[in-house]
Amino acid sequence: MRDENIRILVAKIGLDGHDRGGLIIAQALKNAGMEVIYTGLKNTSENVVEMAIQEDVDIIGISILSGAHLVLMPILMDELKKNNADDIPVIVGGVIPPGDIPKLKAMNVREVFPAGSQVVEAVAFIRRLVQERRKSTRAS
Amino acid sequence: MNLFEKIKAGDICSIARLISKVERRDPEVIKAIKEIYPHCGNAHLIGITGPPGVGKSCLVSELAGKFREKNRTVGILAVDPSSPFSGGALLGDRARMIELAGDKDVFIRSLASRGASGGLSAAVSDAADILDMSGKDLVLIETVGVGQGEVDIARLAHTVLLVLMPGYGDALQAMKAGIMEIADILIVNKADLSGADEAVAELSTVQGFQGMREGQDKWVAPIIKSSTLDGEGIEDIAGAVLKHFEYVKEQGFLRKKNRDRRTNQFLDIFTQQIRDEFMRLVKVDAGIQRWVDKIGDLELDPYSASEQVIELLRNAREQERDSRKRTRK
Amino acid sequence: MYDGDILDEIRKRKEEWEREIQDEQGSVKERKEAFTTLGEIPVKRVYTPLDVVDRDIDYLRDISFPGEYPFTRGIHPTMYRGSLWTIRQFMGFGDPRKSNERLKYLMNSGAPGLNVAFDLPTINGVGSDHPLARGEIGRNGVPVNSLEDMEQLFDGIPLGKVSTSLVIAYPPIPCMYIAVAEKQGFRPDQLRGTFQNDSICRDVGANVRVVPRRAELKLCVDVVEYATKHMPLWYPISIVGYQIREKGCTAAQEVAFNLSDGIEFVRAFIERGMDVDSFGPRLSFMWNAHNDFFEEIAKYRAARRIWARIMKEKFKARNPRSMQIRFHTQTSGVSLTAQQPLNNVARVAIQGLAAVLGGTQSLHTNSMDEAMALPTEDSVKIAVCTQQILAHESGVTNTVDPIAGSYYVESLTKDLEDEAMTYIEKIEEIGGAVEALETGYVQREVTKAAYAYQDKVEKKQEIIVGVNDYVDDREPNINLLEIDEAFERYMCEKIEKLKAGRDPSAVERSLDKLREAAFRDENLMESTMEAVKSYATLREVWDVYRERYGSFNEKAHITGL
Repeated sequence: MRDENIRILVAKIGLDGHDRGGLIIAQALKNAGMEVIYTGLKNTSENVVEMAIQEDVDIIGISILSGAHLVLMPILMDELKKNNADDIPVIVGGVIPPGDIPKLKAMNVREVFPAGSQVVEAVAFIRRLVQERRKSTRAS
Repeated sequence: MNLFEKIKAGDICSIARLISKVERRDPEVIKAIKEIYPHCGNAHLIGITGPPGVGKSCLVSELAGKFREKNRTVGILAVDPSSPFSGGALLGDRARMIELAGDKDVFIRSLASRGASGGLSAAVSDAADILDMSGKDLVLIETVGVGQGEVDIARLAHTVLLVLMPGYGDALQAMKAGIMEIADILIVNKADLSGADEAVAELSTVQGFQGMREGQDKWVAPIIKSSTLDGEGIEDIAGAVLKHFEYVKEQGFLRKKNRDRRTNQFLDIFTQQIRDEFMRLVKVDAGIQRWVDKIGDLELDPYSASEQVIELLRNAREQERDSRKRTRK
Repeated sequence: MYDGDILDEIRKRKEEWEREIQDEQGSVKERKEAFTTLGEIPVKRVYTPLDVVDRDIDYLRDISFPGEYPFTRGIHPTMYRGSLWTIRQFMGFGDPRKSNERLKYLMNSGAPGLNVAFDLPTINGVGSDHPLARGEIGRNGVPVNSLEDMEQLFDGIPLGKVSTSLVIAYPPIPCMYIAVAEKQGFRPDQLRGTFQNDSICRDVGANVRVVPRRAELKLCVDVVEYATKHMPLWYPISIVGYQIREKGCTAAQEVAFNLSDGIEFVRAFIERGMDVDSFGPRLSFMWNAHNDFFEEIAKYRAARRIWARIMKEKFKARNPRSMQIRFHTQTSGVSLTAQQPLNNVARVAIQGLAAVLGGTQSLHTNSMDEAMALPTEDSVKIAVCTQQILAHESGVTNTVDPIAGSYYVESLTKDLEDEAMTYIEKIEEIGGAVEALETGYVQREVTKAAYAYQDKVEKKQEIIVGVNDYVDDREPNINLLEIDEAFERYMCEKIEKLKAGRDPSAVERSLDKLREAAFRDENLMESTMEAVKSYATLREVWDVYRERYGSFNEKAHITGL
């Protein structure tokens, strides 16, 4: 099935300047036929949520390599809730210790792609998630 | 509140979702546009075009900031090309507009061209209407200026900015045929780089060779140097943009511009709908199907075929007129 | 190196050999159609003396003796027979006091070179109490908000007797270091160590940018100018290729981009009025040690050769020491995997061996858990021992540059040299390293290479054990170091307390003087020194710099897209 122009926000939050992963995934998602809105560096959670809403994205992908995920992700998830946008699914990629994955999932992060993950896995996951979400929102 | 009221009230979520539907050409959207249409026409539409890499996004960001200082509300549509191979797109413009974050009176949306020719799709026109109706005083439409894009933006926008940078003389040579005529303001961006003055001189020379603008339009496009690093020229550009709008209003060109735009919009929609309707008919009507096959089998040439259809339309119109006359009698 | 008759004989025999190994169809069955290095340089089935001769590699001109121009074989005549490289482990996390404990632990475990990393809020000149600092304090390095933190970091460590590397650029932190040393009773001319002080590498490699690029360069030049006058034993800049390599460029690009970085700085020092031989011998470099063993060795050798020629021919250096690349190496962080982390010990050993065979002066070996978090003391210990094993058990230190004369390595060294030179010339054409960053050229090249590599991994053209092949689904079982969350609050409160306890008029006076100096475009080392000594915070000092130069226009530089 052709992706009906999946729109994804690829975002970096905090001071973390390591954008290799974010840029690679952005390029790969584009090549997989998605429309990727890339936020650039040094965003606050507030900015990211605002962008996600204005761009009406299907999904948000956050890339964090600094280790600050357990501090920054709860802020982002709260901000989504505050703006009634917590229906937008969030995934995280980067340097994430295995022990932190359940903690992130408990915050309603849908999936975590630690360093060394395959881009194809992420693409497949995003497609599946977006299709499910679209089915349910269109049905409702 | 229904969708229409929400948008009118500036509800960000509703605006965003309707633009998505516009992008998908969702049938629901036609209903919404019909409702929105009479409430449009308040916003000043500004097109920003130019070759890739001249710093259009940063300039748009600075300009928007300047207009916000002047208490105008701003909508921004940033159009980037979709990949012809994958259909995907990398939309990085708003990363350059981070200074506008958190301002509720600025709405930014990135759009992928999705294969529409010229890079400026019908969706952009509708999206501009949505932002117009949501109460944005100014709508800045940024598009990569290659090929057809410039002409499209000239039809849509009231004021067109052409952005260049030092060392883009060659690009200008390649484009100047059409581009110089449609630009209302010429900008040499990245003026902090060497060669800015030469670029200005080059532009004014080209401008000198140019004939009068169409009709009574006496506007001479100012050439402005700008730099987003130190804010040079931004105030001047903002001033020129507003001055140009006053000019087109005073001279009575605004009405003409709007009418031209809407006529073109109608023609685009009409052509598309005729086409869609015809393709639908071909599928369901065996007679029409046979007639189309004749073209394929070289029994009927496509020109005559088209003339036959137009003839049918004319006859239908005359018949209707006759029947109206008869009923009046 | 060979006379004509022997070469003809070798050529003839090689053609026969190629024929003998072919099957009836005239092809040779191998695992892959084509073999390349990690950096996509084609690799032949076998290398012979012909590869050296046909490429016009001249021993005396291009390879020569250790310690002799163009230093392909190393900068010292005796290399590790004279003295071993310095084990210099990168460190810094949590509270300055905690980092102080770790520094002492490392010194006692036989890693005498101190190597301190600072956290993102410190590197970015914002400090712990900035909103963007949330979640980042003490995470990738130690937070230093004022001279007080610096005093705690080096408490009980006699700075006149150790060699310290500070992984940070611009005047404030170097000034704090010098101020702490002075309080301990040492003069600047007694201090040994390195300031990383390379704005360009941080910029392209890690997107650290505070003020506009030209101003950042100016601030780095200030440090070098000061150190050249007052700190004769100190290396005031380390020109770093490590981060850009981590970002995904190839080995040849690492050489090219980093040496272009070096060229830009040398030009800036000369423009400041310094003689090339006054600072030339005090330049140091830093490279990555990645996975492709021979390509990495060839990389260090090619870099030495290119730099020697650049310094001699382009910048007319006369002192041979100005032509030498002295370098620190760190093994690659991105090559480590979160999957089966114990495997990383093997990776690090191979990478470390490449650095040693490439002639490094000091080495940081990564710890096995670094793909997941900050290293624990146990894993750091293994990393240090890995170096000790290389130094004392492997036997590779017994002779100088044992790998020289390998037909493959000499040919590959030439390949890397040629490819790097093409990039260096291109960057010079654009107008130098800073200009090449401004136009986004370098960033685009790096992203392209990174993407190409990832694509090969996805297609399994590159195998990463435990990641895309030989996968083991068992959860890794290692202990990770965690950072206390309450600590962020503590660091912010510490700043408040400091501000309440210091002499406000002294701070104000010193910052005013700094501001005046900044607007007069003077060297800012002396005035920054005064400011930090009055306990002005890092952020207060940076605010003055920002006032003068403006903040970096981040949005104008979305890199790599």
